[in-house]
Amino acid sequence: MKRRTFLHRMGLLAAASLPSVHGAAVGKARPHVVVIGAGYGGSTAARYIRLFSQGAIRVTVIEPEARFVSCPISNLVLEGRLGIDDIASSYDRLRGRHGIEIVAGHAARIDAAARKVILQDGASVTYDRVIVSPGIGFMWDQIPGMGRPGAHEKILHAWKAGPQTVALRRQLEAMPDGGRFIIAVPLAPYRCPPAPYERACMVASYFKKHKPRSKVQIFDANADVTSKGALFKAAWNEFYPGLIEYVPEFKAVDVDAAANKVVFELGEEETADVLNLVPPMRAGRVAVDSGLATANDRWCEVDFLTFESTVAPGVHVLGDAIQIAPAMPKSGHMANQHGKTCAAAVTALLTQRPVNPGPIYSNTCYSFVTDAQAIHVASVHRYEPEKKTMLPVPGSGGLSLAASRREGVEAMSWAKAIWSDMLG
Amino acid sequence: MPGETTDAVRTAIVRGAPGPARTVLAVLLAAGAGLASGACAREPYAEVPSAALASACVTCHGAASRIQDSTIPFLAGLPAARIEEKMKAYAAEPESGLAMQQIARGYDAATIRRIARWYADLKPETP
Repeated sequence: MKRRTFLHRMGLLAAASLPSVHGAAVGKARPHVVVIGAGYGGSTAARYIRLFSQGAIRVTVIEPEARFVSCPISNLVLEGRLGIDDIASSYDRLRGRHGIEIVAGHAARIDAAARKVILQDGASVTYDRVIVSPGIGFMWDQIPGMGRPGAHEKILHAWKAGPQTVALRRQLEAMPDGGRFIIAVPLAPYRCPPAPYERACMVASYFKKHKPRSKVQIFDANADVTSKGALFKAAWNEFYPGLIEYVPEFKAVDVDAAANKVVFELGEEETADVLNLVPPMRAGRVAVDSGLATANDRWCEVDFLTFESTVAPGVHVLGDAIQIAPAMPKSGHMANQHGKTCAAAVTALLTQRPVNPGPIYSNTCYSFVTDAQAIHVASVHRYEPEKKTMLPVPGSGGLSLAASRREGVEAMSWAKAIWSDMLG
Repeated sequence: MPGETTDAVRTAIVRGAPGPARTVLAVLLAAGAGLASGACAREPYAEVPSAALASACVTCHGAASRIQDSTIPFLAGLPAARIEEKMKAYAAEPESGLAMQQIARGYDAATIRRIARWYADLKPETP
């Protein structure tokens, strides 16, 4: 009785001494996992910890956005087939059905020694284990012109679905017929390897219908199309002859936003009516600022059995922010698989059960090439104990033979299924 | 009927939000199932290793509830043997660009069996 009163007062005292305290543990309650980021990786991890632990582990998610907006399928918003609300979902079921607490805020830093996450507003959340799924951050320092006032309002990336997707669509709508759309693709690795080439198709599809004298130019820092190359090139020839131009080995290093001009490594310059600059990427900021991005100062190295950081005990990282295993894409589907593997491992670790020594999972990634036809790439990845990494299973995986409407329908089914799997 | 009660409880557990009440029910159910058949609990996520393996498939095929308007086959409650046969057939077919052929070739028989059993034990939810 006395002890309970004491703990209760301790809790009140702690709450009063900080700007605000979310989910501070009072006494020795259920284990508490904090998840940073409610995208493909974080939502899945949060939901599956609740499922795997049968509710025995408390989960708090820190996410600044009020709703989820999907990057996969978002190029269809640029095409005009879908609106932004078609690719958005609510977090209500994570709360109501799964009992997950969602804190609306930006996680600024992880204090691994004190086992707490510090938010931008100064509040903190304590954890037994933390899962960091912040997605990507942009390396703006590599494109100096983006530092000038107004540059970010004019030159869009639309590589995080949401307001930028809508704004880029508006730029395309405002562009006169006969205009020129340029997409500048960064060196791999970046989020979603096929997405720039799908985007070129979707913008070209819109132009073909509404602005047929317009052009799409892809300036790619890579030596060739980084994913589904033969299929994309076949689609460009078949559906958009003379409309899409592909220029490899052109790495964007600067922009003049006021002039809509992009500058390449060897000094070449190109001016667009709509310039879509996809900048170089690294792990999301909270991961970098917490010292987790140990690979080239960009990506976070993890143990693929648990997704625990190789440098911070009790801190797990997953999704696009990690240093990927060989042939593992940075994709929403893959982040979903990371989320489940991590959720199972975290549940095992917090309930004193063995961690699965042999994870196996797959990736299926669809890209639209017209408003109705799609192509896919699939792969299966299995843990290799000797190399301590995930490797593609020999003989598995592959691509579509050609674009098809059937795969276009399948791609939409995939989207509905995975959104339900992470948020339903 | 005791069987009906168990099914009703199981449905409530599967559909309801995880929480203390659900945990208590799950424990009761596990005990009940153990007494009745000597088998382990059939709550779909309690046996984490199998559920985790199957969860890779859930991404596209869903779990207990149907995905609205989806053309991807719904597997919950299908006989395990049928899922195993289908996976073997996909893996053996000459490649025709189907994602499932490419995925089936990556899975060994033992893993497929565990996943097939998990789906077979999963009671489909009625909307």
